[in-house]
Amino acid sequence: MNKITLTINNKKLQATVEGGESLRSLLVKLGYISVRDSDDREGFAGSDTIIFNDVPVYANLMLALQADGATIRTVEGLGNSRKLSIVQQAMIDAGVVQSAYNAPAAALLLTWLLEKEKNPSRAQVAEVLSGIFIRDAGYEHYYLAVELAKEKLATGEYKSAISPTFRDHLSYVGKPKSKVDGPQLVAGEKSFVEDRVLPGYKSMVVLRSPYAHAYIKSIDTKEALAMEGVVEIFTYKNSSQVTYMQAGQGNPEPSPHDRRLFNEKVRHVGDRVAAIVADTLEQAIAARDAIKVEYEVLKPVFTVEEAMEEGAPIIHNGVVEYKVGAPEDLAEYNKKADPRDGKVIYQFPLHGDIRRNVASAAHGQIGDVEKGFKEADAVVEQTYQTSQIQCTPLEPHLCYAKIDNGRLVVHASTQVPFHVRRIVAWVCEIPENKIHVIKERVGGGYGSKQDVLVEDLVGYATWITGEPIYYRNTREEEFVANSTRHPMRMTVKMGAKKDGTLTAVYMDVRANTGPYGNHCLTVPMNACSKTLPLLKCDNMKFDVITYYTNILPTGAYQGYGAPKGSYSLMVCMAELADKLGIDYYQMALKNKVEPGYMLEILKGLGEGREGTVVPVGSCGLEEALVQGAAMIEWGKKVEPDDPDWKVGKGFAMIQQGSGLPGLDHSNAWAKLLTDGTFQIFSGGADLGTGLDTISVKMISEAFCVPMDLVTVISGDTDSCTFDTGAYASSGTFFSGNASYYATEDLKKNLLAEAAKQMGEKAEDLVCRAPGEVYSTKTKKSLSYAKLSHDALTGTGSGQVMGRASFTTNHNSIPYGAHFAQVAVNVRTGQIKVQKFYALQDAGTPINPELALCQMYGAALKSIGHTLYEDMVIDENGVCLTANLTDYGVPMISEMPEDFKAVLIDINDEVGPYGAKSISEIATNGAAPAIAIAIHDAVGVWMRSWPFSSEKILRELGKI
Amino acid sequence: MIQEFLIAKDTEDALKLKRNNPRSVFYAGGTEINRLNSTVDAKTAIGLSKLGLDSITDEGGSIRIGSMVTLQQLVDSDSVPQWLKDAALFCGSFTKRNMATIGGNMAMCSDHSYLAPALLASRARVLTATITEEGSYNEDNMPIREYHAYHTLFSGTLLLGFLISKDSRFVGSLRYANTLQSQAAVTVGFGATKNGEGVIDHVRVFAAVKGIGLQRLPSVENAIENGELTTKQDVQISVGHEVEAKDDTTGSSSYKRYIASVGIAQLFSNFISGGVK
Ligand SMILES: Cc1cc2nc3c(=O)[nH]c(=O)nc-3n(C[C@H](O)[C@H](O)[C@H](O)COP(=O)(O)OP(=O)(O)OC[C@H]3O[C@@H](n4cnc5c(N)ncnc54)[C@H](O)[C@@H]3O)c2cc1C
Ligand code: FES
Repeated sequence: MNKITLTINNKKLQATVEGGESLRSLLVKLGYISVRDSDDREGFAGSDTIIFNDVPVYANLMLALQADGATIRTVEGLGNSRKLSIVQQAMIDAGVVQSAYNAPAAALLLTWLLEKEKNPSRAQVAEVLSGIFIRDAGYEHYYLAVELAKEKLATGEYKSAISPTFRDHLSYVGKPKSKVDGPQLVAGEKSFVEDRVLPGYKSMVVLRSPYAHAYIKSIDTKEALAMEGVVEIFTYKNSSQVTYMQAGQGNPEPSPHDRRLFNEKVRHVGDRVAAIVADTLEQAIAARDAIKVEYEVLKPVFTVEEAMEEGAPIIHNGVVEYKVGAPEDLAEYNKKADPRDGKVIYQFPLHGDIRRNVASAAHGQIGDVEKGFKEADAVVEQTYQTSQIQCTPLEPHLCYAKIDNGRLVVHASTQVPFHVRRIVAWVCEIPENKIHVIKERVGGGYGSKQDVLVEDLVGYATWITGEPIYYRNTREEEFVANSTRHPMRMTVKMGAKKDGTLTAVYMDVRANTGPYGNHCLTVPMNACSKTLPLLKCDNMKFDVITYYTNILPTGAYQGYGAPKGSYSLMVCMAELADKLGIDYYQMALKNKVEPGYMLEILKGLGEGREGTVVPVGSCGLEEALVQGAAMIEWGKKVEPDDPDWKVGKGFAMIQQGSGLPGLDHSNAWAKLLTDGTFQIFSGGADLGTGLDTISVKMISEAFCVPMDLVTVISGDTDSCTFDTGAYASSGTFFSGNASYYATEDLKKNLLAEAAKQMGEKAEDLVCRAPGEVYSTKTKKSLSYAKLSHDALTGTGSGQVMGRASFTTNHNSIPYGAHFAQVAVNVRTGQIKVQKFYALQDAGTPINPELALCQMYGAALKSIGHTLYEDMVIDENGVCLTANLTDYGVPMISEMPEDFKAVLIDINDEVGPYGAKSISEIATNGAAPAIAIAIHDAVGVWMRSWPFSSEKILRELGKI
Repeated sequence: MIQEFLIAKDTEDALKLKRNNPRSVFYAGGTEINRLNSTVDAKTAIGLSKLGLDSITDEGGSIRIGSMVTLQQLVDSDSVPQWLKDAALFCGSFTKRNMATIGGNMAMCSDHSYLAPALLASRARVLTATITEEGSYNEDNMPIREYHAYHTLFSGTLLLGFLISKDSRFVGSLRYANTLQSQAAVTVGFGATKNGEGVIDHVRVFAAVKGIGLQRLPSVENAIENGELTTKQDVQISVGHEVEAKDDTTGSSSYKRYIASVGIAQLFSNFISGGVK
């Protein structure tokens, strides 16, 4: 132990440190929790950034002893959530504080920059942020945040516009207003699951399979159990025997229940073999090393093609059961089952055939595609392959659970608190009233936290042992035991007349779900359901088949199958335009849907049930296309001076959904407090996207009160009412609508109470600023405070409350078009995204600044998927790219040179104040737009992700 | 994993501490030593921060760069030649550049080294210090190619700094990676001089190839000096034949051979057309 003296945020202090202790560990011990680690000391993500002797450094790559005599600044020194610095406030106002795991680090860096340079250039901002990874908001609005801070510092006020505003008659909706959870996040205060862990907790680690496909022949935990500090070790032999699945979807799920907490058969490298609970992490790891496992290794299967082969190894060869709709020959089918494989329980038929590795299948059509192809003047049929992609949330999957008053309390970083409660209840075999799920702030989800990947195990272990348990995935585990994008092989056949009119479209989608069937129907279905309805074509058909293999697990990822479907469908259309010798843009305009067009294709695109045919509603597709084409100067060739570089342009039409009509369900309730302020309780899960801010705005707008007088409580299963969760772009539309209608109900009840107290008719009363009911007839007013007080006296009529549930069959489809201009180097294969314009119709953007940042974030993410992100496994199924450096995520240096997000102003008829969804759709455009631009530049079609330099060179015949 | 941190008082002390502590390493920026999956396996770190090796000085005919100078100091310095700034910027993170040192980078001579291909191509000289078993302290000044060629023999040697000649010489390096901060498949360095009569001399060609290492391509150097390779195309073909590569996640061997050859050919062409930098 060594004693050092250091100054932290102007406070001189002494500390005792160990020789090898990292400086980050010391700072956290001293209470500077903003200095986080999101990559296990990889030195990549920058969550541990501090200012050390006036220079930004990574605290995790330093030893604590280096800090002797040093002056250190952390974000705690800038301000706190009730007194933010100008830079911190500017970041919130610019909309970049979203999931915010790295927002404190960014605030610190930008503060440092502005102290050194009053008027920093874009290049200086980019330089100073070059060492931190931001996945949620892209980086574009960080430049705006600096601009705003600069202006405020110089003149005391902002000069730049933050975002366009919408709906002039409204005060809060459609206006950039500070995100309600922004202050605590940007201040680096306790917000996340890891901040809730109390002393005395037990640590858990997981022993994972080294094999992609094997039976566990024997497992010996005796020695490990006897080791110091070990509390319990769980394996398939001594844990829950419930068969379930981890996809957080509506119940009954369109995913097979095909796993238990631990299985006798391991199905991917990294699959769970045992979980060790011990007093300390070190003890748990030591015990893990002492567990002896013998495997019977089986031949693995990695690709759809291998899985399809006659006689291929069977990934799930267990007993099949159906909750409803069992086929008649099931008993016969099950004769071939191997009990060691466990069960596969379909909640309803998904057309799976596990003995042929088929997890699910779906087929559908309108018209007659064969006839359509015959009528075509040209037909193109091509196959497109997408790769396996990781969400890479900065905050990994983690969970802290404890027993309180005989109940299981689960602190979760989740998109689906109510599904977590249900699934944990199933696994523990206890009723839901025994479980309290608290959704903390989510430091990045992007779909992967729609799946219940750690809460099942931590919840179970806590329930059984009675001990408080904390578990956190390592970054490597984030790669090997997490939900990822399903790799897909899509064959698209498309026919058209000479003038470009489509006559038939066929999509054959073969998806690779890997070891388990999370979202195995929904994700691949989305490749069709979120793309085919873009096209006005009478003859369309799709076949979707999903296969089990032994790749790393897959599941939900922002956009589901839509980014892949868009890629194949749009590129195929561009290939067809090329074959016909017509302009792809004109072809898109000719074949795109328009308001009122009946979407017959939706009939076959329900999730395991018949979909509802509806007409196209609010639709900004044409505007997005026309405006985007003008911005990028479509048709104008760019000739660079350097002959090695060729420039091309491309675009893609895109759409998504706004939740799942007929399946999703949201509830909210609200109450008037005794002093006339408000509380709203939303079942929705804010992932940093601004859903809580939407709920607050609903109240502020309806009651004309400042947002500061409204508090939102969300995602807490004890105090909030049920919500299916934040996925499938449902947040604003479903949860937002529940908040909207709960507010309306509250208003109706409040006016009724006011009418009673004022002796007036409710229809003569209105709510107005600064927080009162006003009679348009008698001109009398009654403050909300007095109203509430009187309602709650000994003779009052009770608390004024409102509640609502929201369901719909309506499809409020967001539309858009993404345009790209790329430069391709024909000697090196390098690609530069020079311009990327994302134009989207989100209905009324309730939080326009956050909406823009989500578009930037999702677009940059999808540029990453298109160009370099890739999970590579070797011939044994071992992940070779299980860290951020090797996997390759976009940083600020990878941003397009000219990056613009544009909100097309369209009002939706069903969304809250006309809003539709915003962020998932923004992952759909980059791959097709860039592929088409590459073709325009150098004449090759990129038909597989990622479009690496090497692949470009191969296509160009250089290697 | 480092368990002990000792701060050396001077260069001699650093060498003594290293000799007296088994499994010890010199500790500069710590960005390699402390990182996850570090290539450095050691128990004791010997801090070099008090050794006064963190400055850049103009010594008339050459520039002396202390081994503890960070990559960001290189970028910010007015005295440092552009080719070295360019190489320092291959480290895409400003925060990391504030920590990582030129000495730490060169000491590793890694297969994805930011600086080594450029420094080797520049014909810089390396200033070193050693201590004998008997305890006698020596400082030396050697060609950087020697440090590279016998790298494993220098594991106990302390790098004091680098001398970069101000003589006219072209030096350039290029890095090929998927993103600025992902691992490079290939980083190439090329250096050469041209005298008054246009004779090309002192050619240096290096390629750091992921999975293989930091290679010198002497036959390409000789062929350029001898006038056998005169065009970009010639150089590309020649490098393609000579450079070694293997498949990994950064690219296939054929891609790496190709891109190394394209990169070196490009630098050669820049040299021919732009002359001396
Ligand atoms: C995410 C990440 C990605 C990276 N990517 C790259 C990359 O692409 N290319 C690359 O080159 N590096 C990379 N690095 C490694 C590292 O940042 C750099 O190589 C850096 O320049 C090392 O310098 P340092 O001062 O931090 O070295 P240290 O970590 O302090 O030391 C590294 C080695 O050099 C030795 N050493 C240091 N100084 C001296 C000296 N004066 N004399 C003798 N030996 C000495 C040490 O004993 C140790 O063996 C990466 C690091 C991280 C965290
Ligand atoms: S080492 Fe910086 S975030 Fe992990």
